[in-house]
Amino acid sequence: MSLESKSSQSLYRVVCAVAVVSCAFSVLIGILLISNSMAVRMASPLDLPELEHLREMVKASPSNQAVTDKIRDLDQVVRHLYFTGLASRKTGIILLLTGMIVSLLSLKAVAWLRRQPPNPREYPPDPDPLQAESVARWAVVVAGGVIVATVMIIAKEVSPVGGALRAATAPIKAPAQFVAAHSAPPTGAWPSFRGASGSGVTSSSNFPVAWDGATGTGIVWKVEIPLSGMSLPVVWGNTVYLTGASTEKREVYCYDLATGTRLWKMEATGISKTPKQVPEIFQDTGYAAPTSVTDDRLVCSIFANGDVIAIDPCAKLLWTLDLGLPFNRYGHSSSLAWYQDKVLIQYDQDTEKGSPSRLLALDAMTGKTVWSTLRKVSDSWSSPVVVETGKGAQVITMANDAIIAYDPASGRELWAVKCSGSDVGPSPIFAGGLVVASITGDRIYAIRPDGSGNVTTTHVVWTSEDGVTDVSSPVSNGELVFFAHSGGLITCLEVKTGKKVWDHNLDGEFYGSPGLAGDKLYLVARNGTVFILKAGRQFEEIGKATLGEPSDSSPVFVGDRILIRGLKTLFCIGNKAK
Amino acid sequence: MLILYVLMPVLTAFAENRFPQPQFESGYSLPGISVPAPRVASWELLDVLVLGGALSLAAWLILKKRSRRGVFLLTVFSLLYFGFWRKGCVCSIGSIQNVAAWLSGSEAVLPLSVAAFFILPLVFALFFGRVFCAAVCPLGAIQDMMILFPVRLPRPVSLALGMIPVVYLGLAVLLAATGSAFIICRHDPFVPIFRLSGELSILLAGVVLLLVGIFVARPFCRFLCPYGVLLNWASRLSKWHATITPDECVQCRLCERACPFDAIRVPVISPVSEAREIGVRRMQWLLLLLVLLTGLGMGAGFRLEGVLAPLNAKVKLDQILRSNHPAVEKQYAVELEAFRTGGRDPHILRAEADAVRRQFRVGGACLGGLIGFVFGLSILGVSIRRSRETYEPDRGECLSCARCYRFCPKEQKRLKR
Amino acid sequence: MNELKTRDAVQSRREFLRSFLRGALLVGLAGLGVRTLLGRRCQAASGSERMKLCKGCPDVAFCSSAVLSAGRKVWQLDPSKCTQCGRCATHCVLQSSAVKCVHRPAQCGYCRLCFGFFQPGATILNSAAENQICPTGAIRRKFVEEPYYEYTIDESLCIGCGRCVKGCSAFGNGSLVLQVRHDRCVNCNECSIARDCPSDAFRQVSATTPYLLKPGAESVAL
Repeated sequence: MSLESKSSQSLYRVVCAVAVVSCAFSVLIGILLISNSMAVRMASPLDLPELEHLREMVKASPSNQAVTDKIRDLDQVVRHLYFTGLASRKTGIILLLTGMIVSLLSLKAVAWLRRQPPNPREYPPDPDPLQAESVARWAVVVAGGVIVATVMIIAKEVSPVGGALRAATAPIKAPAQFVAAHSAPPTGAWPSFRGASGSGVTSSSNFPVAWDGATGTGIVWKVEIPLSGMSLPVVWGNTVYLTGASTEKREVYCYDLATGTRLWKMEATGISKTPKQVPEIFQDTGYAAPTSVTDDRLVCSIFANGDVIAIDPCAKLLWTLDLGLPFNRYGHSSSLAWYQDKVLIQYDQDTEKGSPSRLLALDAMTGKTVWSTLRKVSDSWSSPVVVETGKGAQVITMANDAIIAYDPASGRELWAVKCSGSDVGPSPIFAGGLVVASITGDRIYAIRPDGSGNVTTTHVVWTSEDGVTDVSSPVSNGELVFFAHSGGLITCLEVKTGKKVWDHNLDGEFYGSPGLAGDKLYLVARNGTVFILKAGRQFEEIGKATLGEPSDSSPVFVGDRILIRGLKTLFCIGNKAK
Repeated sequence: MLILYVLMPVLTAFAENRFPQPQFESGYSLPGISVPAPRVASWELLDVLVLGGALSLAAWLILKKRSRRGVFLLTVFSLLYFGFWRKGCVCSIGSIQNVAAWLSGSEAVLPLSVAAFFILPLVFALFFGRVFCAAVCPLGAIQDMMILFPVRLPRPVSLALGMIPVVYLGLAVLLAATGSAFIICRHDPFVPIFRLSGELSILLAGVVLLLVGIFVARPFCRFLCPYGVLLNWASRLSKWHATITPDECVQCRLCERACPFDAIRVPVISPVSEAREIGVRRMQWLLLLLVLLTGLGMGAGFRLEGVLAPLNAKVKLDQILRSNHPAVEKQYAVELEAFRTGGRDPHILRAEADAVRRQFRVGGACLGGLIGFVFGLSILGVSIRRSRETYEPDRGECLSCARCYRFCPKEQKRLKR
Repeated sequence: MNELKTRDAVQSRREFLRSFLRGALLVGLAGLGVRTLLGRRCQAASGSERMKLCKGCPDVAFCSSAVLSAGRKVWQLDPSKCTQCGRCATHCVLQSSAVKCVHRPAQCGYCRLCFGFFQPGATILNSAAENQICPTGAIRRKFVEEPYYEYTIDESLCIGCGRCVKGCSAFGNGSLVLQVRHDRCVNCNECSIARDCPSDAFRQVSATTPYLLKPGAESVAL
């Protein structure tokens, strides 16, 4: 309507030219911008492999001036490139925006100059409403189908891990059937490694001091264990549980405490979906080194390959769990601990080879993880011990680098003591208000357990280089603490001060930890000799007994009987008349 | 160096203060840390006030003043304020997700300003139509500037494309409610332009949409915007809505092609040219179809779990952990490394991932059903013939931009007066 | 005439339905608004900080000082979870990320051999390019007194790659941490770094305590 006059025509021409030029400009800048950002992204100048290579060269020969000069030059260039790239991007975007605004305005002007008055007479006639309706209906239906299909396809493409890999699902739980309230351990129960207190102590002292496993004198019963293992028996009421394993098989056994009859045997199979590698272990550790935990509802066991199994007293499988193959130089040997319906597992591994070390608490009835705490330590062979400090329970753990206490309810780290041991095997005990930990290759540490954070400098009451053990754990009557070295040296220290009271060399090697019953100290030597000493301020040998076969066991005290695991046999020692 | 490496596990157990703080003798004092503050709260209140003011002004300009120029100026203001100044965030479109996440009972908090950005435009739509789209929304504004040579889309095409936002809305709500992703924000095509920075692909998508917008007016608003769906529904119920003519329509047909968004409905006076029974029977079939589509949608939505759940970080990580596939492990090495060093428990993760999967199944079924229902409704909608005597805007689709006013001879007369 | 009447009846019925639905929706939206306003927990930091902010009242609804800022959240990175994967540098919507390295002098050991500054294995401890770990040279090293050196970060150069943080937390005191700098952060509705953070270290913290700089990763109030 306005293109008739000459002036408006020339105006139109100018506007058109401006529009074309500005559009071309915008397109050009746009392309440059895209290629620039692509180039920056592709090259990622700050991560040039060339630069890395040069740095390696410098490390190899630090005095090579030519290489360092090259690095400096390249570094300069690269930084310049990066920052000018960023800056040019910014200017590019501003140029583009300006170009776009100009082209937009000019195009708007073009559109305005070309605008036509509406002319209804030129409009095509409306289609038949019925037909239009049906077309519209179909359009919606087809569009719906296409959209849903596209969404599905896009989502499938976007789906990160891909459908094919979604298949594997590992089984975890079998429903817990045998649910009863956890009752306090009956007197005489030995529910976990080194008893309910975790310290290998029992208060009663009416245990025999002489027997002979070979002849059967003083033996209530003995029974052959099908598969070998370092694990100790655990006892609840009238049942004794034990584990054994070979490279292929892992088994849990249940015996009658009164007669020694095997009530059942259960094989732990099918815990990991894929066939597992047999872990590389030290022969002395074996495939069933960790001791189980039990209460009236279940027994829970762990094996060297990280398989965990929980079985109820009637041999019903409650749950299984695969913790993954541990990377442990000598084989996993840390026993399970128990705290308020939770099974605690210290799962330390060689962090350079395997996944990180951790301490985890499983719900005893379901096997579900209640908490899991990362432990920044390498593989260890010590067992966690739950102690009641008077100000709340603590799980004490040991490793080469640190003694760490956790809150057993939450897994929170409470305190830690730095140490520098190697191949730490013994487990800690709690005696006379102190945590006593024998760190192999370092010292014995006695720690007040009321600190928080790193208490190395503040809460270590005493340390002692006398009596440090390598395999067996200490035992204490609250006043004195006894250590048995594998070489045969028995050391007695004062709990409060760490002063040496006496030491004595016995004719035996000690792998099993000493047990204390009343005032009697039971020490099982590797050759099967059991030394019984008086737990007093002077060395005094009360008796000597033999198993008749080698043993690395600690004594388990239940009622008036002692259970000791020999290489192939489980011995129940006591008064036969009962 | 070697010793340090060997000692590393020991040292990391006591990560802090390996080296004690030095005791300076030269009187050196520790410098402070600068902690620049985020935007103060009152600025957010200002945003809400500007939003409320702009909405009120838009409603007044459109319904009372009937001024296209005023609407245009307000559009420019909104583009500058909500777009380039506030960088397109917070916006009403994205606020859908915050509301969905909040309603789903997750830990997400719903800040007052976000709630206001969600509620205010809908309330205004319930009274005055889509005045938010007309002049307040920065995404609409930037597209509105691009309308140069609008072409008419055939009705079936725009109807079909109009189904996309419903699905987009459904997906966005589902993903936000399950705590998986905020896909609307992630794929907002114009925010990178407002920020002058952002992901290249999204920026390109924005540019392409703007270029398309030269011919197909406001493509994002009509065929993608999920908030537009809500505004569309609200606007259909609007108490007062913009009318093309200030008083009586003279049926001059001049406005028929005026709308760049094809939202003007022509009068339908002709009597129905088919037998009543056919219509009734078709209606019955369509009602059946509505039910069928709802059911179908529920089924499809239920199955979507498999493809959508991996968008959730927990589910994805669980899948990666479970895949045991070297290729996957290589691709997600960083995630696996972080997971391992983080000390999180894979079993807890699995339980959490399973919970998310359940949410996806239930939520997917609900939303699938809803989408199916909406599809069925729109099929029904196009089949219902209403008699219309005058040229009037489609209350749902009309963006109340006031462009059509100038085409009405009555309006020209009013302006001259 | 009759037809007109029925049409009117239909119209009025339709109008009634419309206003009914409108009313229902309005009530719904109002409910949503009221719920956001009232049904929120106090976002103020706990303990003494909280008492200071709102005198210990249990609910923000009754606390005038916090209503405005209630629920205002900003993104922040928890250094205790961070694994320094390097994505902060690349995944931010801003070119030159909003995440920068922050140095905490109170935690710093002022080491001569700083593992956040030097390449591992650097033998000559000077600030030559081949010795620096920072790809952009954003860390400045200044002699204080024997044997202490002060380190400062030039934020205009820092790209938030976290290489220095990795070195410092592995071998040093961990005084270098990555933090979202709120003068740069545009506070996206969904942080695009958070989305791809492998260690889940990003979270939304209260805008009144927008930094996680203390060793225990408690928020730092401004």
